[in-house]
Amino acid sequence: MTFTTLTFILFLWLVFALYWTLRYRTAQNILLIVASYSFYAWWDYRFCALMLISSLIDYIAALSIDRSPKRGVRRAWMWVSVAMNLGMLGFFKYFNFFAESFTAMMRSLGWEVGDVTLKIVLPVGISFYTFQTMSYTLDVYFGKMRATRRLIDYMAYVCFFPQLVAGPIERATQFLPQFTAPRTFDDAEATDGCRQILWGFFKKMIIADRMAILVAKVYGSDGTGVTLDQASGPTVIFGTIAFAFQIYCDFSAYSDIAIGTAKLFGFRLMRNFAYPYFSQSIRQFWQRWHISLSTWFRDYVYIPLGGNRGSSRRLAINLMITFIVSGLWHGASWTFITWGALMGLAIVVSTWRARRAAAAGLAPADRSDTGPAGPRLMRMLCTFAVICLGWIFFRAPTMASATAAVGRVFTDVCTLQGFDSCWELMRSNAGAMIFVLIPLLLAIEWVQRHRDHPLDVGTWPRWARWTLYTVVIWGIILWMPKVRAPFIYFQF
Amino acid sequence: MFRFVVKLFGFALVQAALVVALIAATEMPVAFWGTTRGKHEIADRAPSPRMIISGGSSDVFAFDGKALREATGYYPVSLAVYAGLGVEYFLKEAEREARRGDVIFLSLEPHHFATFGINEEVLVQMVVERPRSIFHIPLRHLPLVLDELLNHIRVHLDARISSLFRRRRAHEVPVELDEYGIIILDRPTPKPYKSPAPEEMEVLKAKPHELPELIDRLNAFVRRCRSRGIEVVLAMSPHDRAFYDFNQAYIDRVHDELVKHFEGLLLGPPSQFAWPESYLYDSMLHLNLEGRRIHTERVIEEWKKLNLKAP
Repeated sequence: MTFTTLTFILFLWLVFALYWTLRYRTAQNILLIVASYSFYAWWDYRFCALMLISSLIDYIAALSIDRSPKRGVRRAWMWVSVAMNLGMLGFFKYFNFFAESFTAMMRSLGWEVGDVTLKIVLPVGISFYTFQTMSYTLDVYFGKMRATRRLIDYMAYVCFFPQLVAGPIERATQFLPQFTAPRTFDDAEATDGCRQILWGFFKKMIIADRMAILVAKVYGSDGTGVTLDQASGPTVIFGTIAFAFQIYCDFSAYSDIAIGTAKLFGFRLMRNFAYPYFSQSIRQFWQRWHISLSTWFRDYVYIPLGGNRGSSRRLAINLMITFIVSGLWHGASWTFITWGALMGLAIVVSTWRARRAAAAGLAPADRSDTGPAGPRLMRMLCTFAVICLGWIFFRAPTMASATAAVGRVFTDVCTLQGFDSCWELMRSNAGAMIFVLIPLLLAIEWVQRHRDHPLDVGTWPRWARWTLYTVVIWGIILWMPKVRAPFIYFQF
Repeated sequence: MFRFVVKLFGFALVQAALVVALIAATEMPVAFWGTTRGKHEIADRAPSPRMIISGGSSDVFAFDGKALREATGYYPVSLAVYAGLGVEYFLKEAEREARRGDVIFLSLEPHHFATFGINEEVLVQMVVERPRSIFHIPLRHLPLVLDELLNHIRVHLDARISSLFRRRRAHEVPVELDEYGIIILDRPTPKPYKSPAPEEMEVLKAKPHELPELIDRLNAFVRRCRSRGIEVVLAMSPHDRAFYDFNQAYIDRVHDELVKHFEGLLLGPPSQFAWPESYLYDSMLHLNLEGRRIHTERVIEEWKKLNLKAP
């Protein structure tokens, strides 16, 4: 069940009504479990078994860790949980990738090896909930929290439907206690939740889905047979800018809807995006983009590797490993690994610059929210350009087409022929929208950048708020494209 | 909680008021899908025994109602709107509409006997135009229909707002029906039909289980209808001769299977209902006035062989 459907809207209000009718917390949690499994089964009921197994193993592992005084036993259970979660993820997500890479390597060495790929369907959201359950066991193992005995609370925490499929990836230390605490309905929170959901719908259905049409034309997934290899340098740039906003509006919209929905049920999810395209450095970008995943990797990969302790070289290695793993998390493909490596490299440079500035007793430039607008804008544009370079690898279907496209960006950008094809695209309906929607989005976000989300207008007079909501709702209904693209992060 | 619910309902009421104001301020001509209402009204008024014609849009163009009535004694009522609604929809709709003594004339397009996709968008249109149509939709399509509803709301509101500014869209062209629910062809098509070249021709094919399943479904339908005193006649709808020639092996095999296994009455063979492009209106399945006349004569000829006369 996708958020941007009437089915979901009906489902949401039905569950909401039932939920607040129930007086006991346990009954509410049971309802959430039933609703979440139904929500998940909407894609494929077989996936539910996988989620159930993953949840139960982590529940048992965490309890065993908590109860055992012996360090060896605790460690063994921790590894059982990690191996099970990564094993499951590895099998469903990476088996074919590693099998293909192994076969290709063997063949390049002159050994003939038969194909060993399997027909595996990737369960929706597996990367998200395995990370969430794994973090629970790890937090119990590291002594950050006690394991819960209450299976119902724990199950509700794992499968909570608003954030089940594409995050935010919640930490047990923050999120699980919310399932064990009594909850009361907060009128202001619920109203703000509705506003955030509405903003999510606007970003997804108006901006992301419209950008998707343009991006598909450039990256060759619109079924017309035109491929990325045929796109000129300016076309690649134009298409990649569109993709940058498509992926942002698509993914942050999902987070907004998830956070807003959670607020309706009395839960607070962590913020996942904080206006990332206003970042003045790559380092800052990664503090504002997919925050729940970035902090997950920081806590469970980067810091265990040594974090920023040690030499600059060690720091660079730790950052590179973390970002390459993050790339691999996104998908089993060399394009994602390259994207991760590129981002890692950029953040190493960004971090070194910040360290050098600190050593010289200067405040890092990216922290300044005041001062002359020109340099700030330049820093934002430079950061955006590097991010877009990464997006080419992220979006391209193959490594070969990605590298060729990057090559054309640097060589073909000044040719008249290259601009001709780009101009055609800009003049198309889908292309022209970019000049309306992106400035509109940026203007709204800039004005509201100090707020949780741009529709956080609780202080406005009622007539103004209701007029705004009406404009947004009617805008969505009248301007949403007929074909709605699935959320990009569902594939991860 | 109470405050929140009141606010929510208040806001919903404001939106509803806006929609009502928009509806009051605008007028929507009956679009093609809206003809389903008129067709059912005709069916309600029509004297028994009736010939309930069910199928795709080809049947909206295919028959001369008066000639059929005179030749068979049944009062023909075409419920047909669009092929993409699917055979299950046609069967449910016809079954709910038919009364004892009626005959259901299923005139299915060749595509219905091959792998065929249902158009959920039009299913939604049917429900919006005539809410009772929801009973004709197979259960498994309901969630998708619900999702499509959002698109429908968009198109409908857009059309209404456009009409405020006197802009008329192509899909708003009004459609007029005669007293048998058949489209009145009083103007030439802006785009006369031309048979496609063989390399552009659609290839009919089906998975091995699809045709037997369809025949089983049709037979179950025939048995249910007969138990209520309703007869069922099946035929292939009119179609382009060039299309028939291109897919002849497949279409003839379908007919052979129907001859062997179909328990109702069968008109045919399909070659009898394949017409050259000069008889077609704007598509390979829509007949023009001359095509309508000649096709009706052919159907009457075949009908006589069934010895099926109105009681």
